[in-house]
Amino acid sequence: MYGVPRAKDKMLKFSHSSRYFLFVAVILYFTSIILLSIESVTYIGSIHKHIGINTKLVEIVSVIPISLLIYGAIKARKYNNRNICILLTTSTLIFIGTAIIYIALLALEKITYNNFVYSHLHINLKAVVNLYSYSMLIFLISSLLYYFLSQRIRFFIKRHFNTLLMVILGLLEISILTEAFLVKGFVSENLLVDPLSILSLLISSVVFAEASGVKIGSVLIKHMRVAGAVSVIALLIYLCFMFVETNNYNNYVYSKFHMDLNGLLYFSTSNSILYLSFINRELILRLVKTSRGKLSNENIKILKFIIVSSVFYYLISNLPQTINRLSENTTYIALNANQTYEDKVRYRWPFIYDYMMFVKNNTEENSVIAVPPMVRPWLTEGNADMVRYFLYPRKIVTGEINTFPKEADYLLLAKGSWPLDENSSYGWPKISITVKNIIYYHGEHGEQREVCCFYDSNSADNQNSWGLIKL
Amino acid sequence: MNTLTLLLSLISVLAWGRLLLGKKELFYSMSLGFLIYSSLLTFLLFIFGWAGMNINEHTLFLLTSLLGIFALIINLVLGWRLKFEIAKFDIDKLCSLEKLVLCMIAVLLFSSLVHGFYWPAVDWDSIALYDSRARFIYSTEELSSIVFRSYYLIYPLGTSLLHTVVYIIGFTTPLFLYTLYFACFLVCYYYISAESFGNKYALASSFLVAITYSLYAHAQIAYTNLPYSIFVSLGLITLFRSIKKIEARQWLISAMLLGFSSWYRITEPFWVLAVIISLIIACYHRKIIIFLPYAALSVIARYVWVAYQSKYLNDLSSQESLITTYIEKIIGNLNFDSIWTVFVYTWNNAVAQSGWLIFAFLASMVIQYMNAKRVSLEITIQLLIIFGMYALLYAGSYFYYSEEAFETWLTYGDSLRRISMVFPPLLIYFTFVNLYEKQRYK
Repeated sequence: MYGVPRAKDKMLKFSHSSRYFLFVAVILYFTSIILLSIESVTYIGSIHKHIGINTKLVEIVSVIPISLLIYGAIKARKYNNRNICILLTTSTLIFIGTAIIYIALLALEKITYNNFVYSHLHINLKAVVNLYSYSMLIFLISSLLYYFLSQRIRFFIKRHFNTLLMVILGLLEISILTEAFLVKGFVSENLLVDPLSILSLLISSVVFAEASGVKIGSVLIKHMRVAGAVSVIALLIYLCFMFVETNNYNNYVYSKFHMDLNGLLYFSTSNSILYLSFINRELILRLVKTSRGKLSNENIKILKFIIVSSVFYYLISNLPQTINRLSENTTYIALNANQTYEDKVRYRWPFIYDYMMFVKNNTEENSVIAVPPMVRPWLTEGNADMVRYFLYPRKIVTGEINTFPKEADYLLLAKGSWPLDENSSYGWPKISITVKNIIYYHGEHGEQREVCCFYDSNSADNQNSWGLIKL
Repeated sequence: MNTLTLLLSLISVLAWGRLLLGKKELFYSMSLGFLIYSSLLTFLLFIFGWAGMNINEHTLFLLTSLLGIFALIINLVLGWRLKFEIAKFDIDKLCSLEKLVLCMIAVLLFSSLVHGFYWPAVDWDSIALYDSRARFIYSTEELSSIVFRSYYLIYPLGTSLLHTVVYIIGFTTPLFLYTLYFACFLVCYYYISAESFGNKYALASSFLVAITYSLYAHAQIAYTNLPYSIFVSLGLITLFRSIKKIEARQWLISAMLLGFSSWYRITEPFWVLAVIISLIIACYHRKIIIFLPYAALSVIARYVWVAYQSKYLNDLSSQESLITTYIEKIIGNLNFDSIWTVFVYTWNNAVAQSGWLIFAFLASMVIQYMNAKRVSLEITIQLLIIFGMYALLYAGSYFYYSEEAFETWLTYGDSLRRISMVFPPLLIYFTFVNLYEKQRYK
């Protein structure tokens, strides 16, 4: 009833340029959809390769006429046209269609294995993501355009503001909680919808609602109180889990309870911001009103809505991370107040620090020590500058995969602390040589073993060992 | 002697703050004094070290005495006593939300300070570069102890020498300095904001800066990005305030802050923008002569460091040839796919780091434009600062995109995010200025 504009809506003739823009927009929109669909069943860049048309360029250009229409709509605010309604309906249908296809393919990929969709159905999932995101963008833009043009839709939103807000808030909180219990970014990365950005828009709409003549219902007030209470409970749970995590090891809570602590904090913080901004909405609105430009001007109101939403988004995206860092630090320090300098460095560099101390204790201050090259798997122990920090004033020189500088008195016997890539293998040096002796290192409390007088680089034992070779 | 040096430093901080600011507010003077004095101290320590003096407690004592006495004499000549006032702050007049905001800022800073006194500087780049250099200089007492490795000469010695000073005085960790920097920045930011648009909004804008995750996280690691961002953003904000009226102090403070930003990081070219903007402002006020000291102060630390670098690095290219190479590389590889790829990359790693603040800034600017009904110099300068800096980052990303393998290039995103820490304070300040600045159009 409210969705379709009727003759009752204030209707002014669509200007000639607007019609032209709309025509161009529709043509470019369909062209982009077709091109992206072709890329989905072939590969990204296939259109450019065979026809010479850059799909991304067409996508970007197609947004320009629609954006100009929006500008016209905001500026004029009084024309209406059935063509816009057609654009909205078409873009909605295409968006729903692509969303269903994308989610189905994504689910298929998740329950089978990586690259299943491409190998069995010959559909490029990345190209489908492009199609989905593009159709979502056009859907959002045309909805916005429709919102500015149709008084009926604005009336509908005002009338059902409380219900709409609670439904969307409920969905958002479920998605934020899903991220807390699965993994952060689950919804935003897969569905390309950022719950926090929608939440910040909703919070701003609550602040602006009363200024636009919307009455806040008692159910919504109760909902906000619940949000406030939930935020406190979630914060307490977060603090308990943080305590548990600090007492055990990094990522302990996630591995045992499958709960992302950061996600939980996002849930708590976003709810508390929602509650605090709700109870202080008059104050915030007063701050908005005292700024330059009168709120009675509709265009200024839109601009101020953008500003308030941006500030809320900034708060929601930064505050949880900052609080998380604060609580991590504080909990750790509170539980380990008496740690020595060595303990602290060892905590940050668990294996490397002890290994470096072992090397330091077994070499003279004026010695020259060769380290492996800084490639996988020796990205840390092959970093001469890092090694020098621990072993100064000893001279550190960097070796190659199969050689080492002649000036070296010692060589690090380094298995490698990073995972391998396709071109690498564990163990350095990779050259068999006669040496004075080899001291093997078996951890801080392990027994040190000395061997004389040949280093065999092909021995599996040597390839998987840590130690020091004296030349 | 170390206790005396510490005491002298405290007096110097106050004297320099009073001298530069000419105001009696204790916290503001102390904060600005600390930022400028710490940079000046390490810069002179570097000059002394380069001249062959040992960097030890005696040199440090000599320098702190010289700097302190110099500032005190100038203060006396100008007839100023080191008498300060603490701005009256009636906590009862604040609403509950404002009290909560203040409380949160205090908790954040206190926790960060505790962290700073607890942890040594053990993050990757601190170990590999910044703290390494500090420890080598501290243990050998010689500046030349770092010249054997070209990697140690890539970045100026600002933070490293500050670490050395901290070790000489007797502290075991320099990490708390970064929280001090952050706290001083917040205080300066608050006072500048309060002068621009009043206490209430200043508190709100300072709170937004205080909770900025990238800044807060960097207050707890010994990297150069935080000091650099602080100096650049404060320098540009102070410069922006000169549009209305050029005041000698603001002009000098801005030039010193921007000049000393190059004492922490030399690779980012934001100082060029500051020099251009200062020229525009000087021309606007028809006082072109004042551009010269500004330009000189902005580049002095940079050129002294480049001179030192070129003494030891044989393959150091000149700035002009580097710029020519950059432009050639960028123009030589222009095509739509590259332009778009680099745009998305820069957007994700630089612009999106500030959340939607860029939209808030643009919206506030449109409001200001609608009010003024003209494009004022303020709008032009704001646009020049923000988009000029983004354009420089884009050009830099494009250069590396053309230069490096794609996989290597992708790993630079982290560096780009760290460089982009400079944007949130600027965007927040400009948004608030556009919305709330008093009596702009009278």
